[in-house]
Amino acid sequence: MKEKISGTQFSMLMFLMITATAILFVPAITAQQSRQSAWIVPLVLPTVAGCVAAGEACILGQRFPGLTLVQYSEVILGKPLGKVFSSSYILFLLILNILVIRELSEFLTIVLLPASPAYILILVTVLLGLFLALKGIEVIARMVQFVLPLFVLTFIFMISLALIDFEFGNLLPLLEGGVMTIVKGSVVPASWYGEIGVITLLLPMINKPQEARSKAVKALLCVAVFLTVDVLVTVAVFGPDLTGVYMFPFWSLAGFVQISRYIERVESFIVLLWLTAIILKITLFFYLSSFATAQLFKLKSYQTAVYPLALLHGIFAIFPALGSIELSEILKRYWPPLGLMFELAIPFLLLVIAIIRKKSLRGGKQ
Amino acid sequence: MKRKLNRCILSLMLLVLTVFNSGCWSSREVEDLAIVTLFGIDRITENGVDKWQISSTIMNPGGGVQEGGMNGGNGKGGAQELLFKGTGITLQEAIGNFVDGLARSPFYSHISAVIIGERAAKEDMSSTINNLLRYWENRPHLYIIATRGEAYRVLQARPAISKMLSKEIEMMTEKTSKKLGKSADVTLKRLSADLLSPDRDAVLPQIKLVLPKEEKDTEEGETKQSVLLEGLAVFRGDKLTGWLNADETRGYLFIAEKLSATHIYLPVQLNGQWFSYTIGMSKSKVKPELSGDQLRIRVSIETQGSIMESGNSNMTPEDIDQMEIAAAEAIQELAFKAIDKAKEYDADFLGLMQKLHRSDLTAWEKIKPDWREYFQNADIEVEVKASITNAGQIGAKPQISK
Repeated sequence: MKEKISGTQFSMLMFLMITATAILFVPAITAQQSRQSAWIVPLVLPTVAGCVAAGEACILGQRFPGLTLVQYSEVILGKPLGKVFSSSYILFLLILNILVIRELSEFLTIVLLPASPAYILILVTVLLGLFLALKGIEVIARMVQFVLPLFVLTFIFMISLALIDFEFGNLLPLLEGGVMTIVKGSVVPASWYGEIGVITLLLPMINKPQEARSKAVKALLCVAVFLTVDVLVTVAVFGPDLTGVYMFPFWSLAGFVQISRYIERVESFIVLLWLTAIILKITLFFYLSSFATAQLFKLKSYQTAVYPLALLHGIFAIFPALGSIELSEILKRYWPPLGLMFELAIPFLLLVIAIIRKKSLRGGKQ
Repeated sequence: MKRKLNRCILSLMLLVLTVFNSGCWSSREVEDLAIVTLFGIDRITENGVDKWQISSTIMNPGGGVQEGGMNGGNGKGGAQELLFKGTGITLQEAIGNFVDGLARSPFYSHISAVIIGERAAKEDMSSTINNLLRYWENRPHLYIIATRGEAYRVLQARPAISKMLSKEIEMMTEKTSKKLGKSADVTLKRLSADLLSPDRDAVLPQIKLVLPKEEKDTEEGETKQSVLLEGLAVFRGDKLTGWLNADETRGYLFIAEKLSATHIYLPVQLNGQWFSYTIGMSKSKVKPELSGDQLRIRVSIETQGSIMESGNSNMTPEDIDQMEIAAAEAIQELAFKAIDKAKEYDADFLGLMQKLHRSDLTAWEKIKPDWREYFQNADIEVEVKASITNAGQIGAKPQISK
């Protein structure tokens, strides 16, 4: 592996990858299930799920240092089964990325550019992702280093404006309807936190792989704090009912906040930074899926795989005739089980099989 | 050399891109926009069919300037805002019908207030809220106002002091009506949160047509009415159920809202003489308690104010104590008026049951299915502590020689 990123870059990448989607959607999805206690949701169970996903990936990575999931699954499962498994994993990345692209185009058409056809927005996104993915992981990581502070600062700015309208009463009573509502509400965020499972592909690119686990946990804790503040403030300002009604509550929150008539209509900041963040996320998944494809077919460079994948992304983001209601239904109902399967269950299965079959590349064994 | 050329071509392409990319398909130039400033929603019956009626004022930049110039220009043809209306079976159709008379594309992000007519509020509030929340140009900070009769009539009014009616209504909502204790300011966010919540009812400020304070007849000789924000509209569930008068509105403000920097002038009678208690701030605490099947709610109100008109009081500390007690009694009376109205309408717009829900979950779970009944039978006490902190520039009452 020629290209390397540092541990800090890695945790920034992970942070942005998870928060980019969640920041807009998580308040609504959690408030629908857990109402005024929604802010507890991103704090506990999803973080645990994320840590498990990261832990599994790191243990697997340490058994096979320098190899990615695509390579060691062939060692663990044997060549044919390994290939089948890797292809399904790549398909999973592809679907994930297509959903993210659709989220982006959906958001833009609903709140900003109602007259623009979605395919143009998707086309632009895919082309941008293609261009950036060709540049490689180092460039992506550096972009994240540049964008992340701006992203977090804008968020803090928006939240501090919203604190003026913070109504503590909206968060009461705590835990109405029992702990089960929190557990139910945790499923969707857990599948987002679980995206950190892509460490299975990223690990060989980190210059100190032994650091990866602690860096991933740090990133997850930051994500948990970030999203908890996001949900807490949104629910405290809008109340649980209205938060659950809005499709993008954080966007509406940014539209709501104002200081007298001097500071108002600040939501455009969000568009700017959210777009940058989500495009970086798309690029990362673009890169990872092409990288995995290249390893699967033993291509000389991953760049060759980027073009056909871009085509696939474009086609499958544009053509399925899904409306925004269907899309959010998919995200809420069908995506979490699929996501959690590939993020938690399947790496775990691989690990178990590896242990049983005593497959390892560590310390010169095998 | 070749690299340099490539770079030049690339930057040129980027420049060209910016031309096409401003807003994509959705780009709109400001001179092509019809900026909607007020939006009225009504239900009407047209040839026996129930329909929606949308009326809306649109900013007419330059209108006033050409005609009246510096003199304020409310002359004819120089109106700053133009009034349009449309009707339709659905709200969207009505909006479409109001838009078709315009050669510009309507722009809704700068609406000052949405005014809802009485019939619309009584018949179909959920459609209205649904539409307002769904449409992407509407912001959660939109002010919502109710009116008796048709909203269309309100939009025909003439501003008393501002150049534009929308500006006047906006200023009244935001700055003056709550400060003077006349009404409340309700945003789309608050209205929809209150309507959606399972434990309380909503209120809206009421806008009235009044004869202008300043008698300025238009050239046709008819006096156009101006507007006043006074009183509240009360909802029960999703339907408008009644109105609050000035006293009841003040009672509501003392119980349900936190007031600061207000100038609420409250006339109080002491020993047969009137003095005026100017309330500067007020806060309240609600303590609901369920014992057995009886709900007891204790409301304690604390106000701070000043005396600028002392009646025949001498303003000694003892007098002040007496005045404070008298003022507290007056406020208590207002609060009870609001509570009586809430029980009469069977609508908890005061948010008392919401307090119970938030502070005592087990009690709420118990009474949840018939909370309205519990509210109806609740034993509500009001306790007021009115303090006088300021008596202006002089101390004792000056004795004017006879």
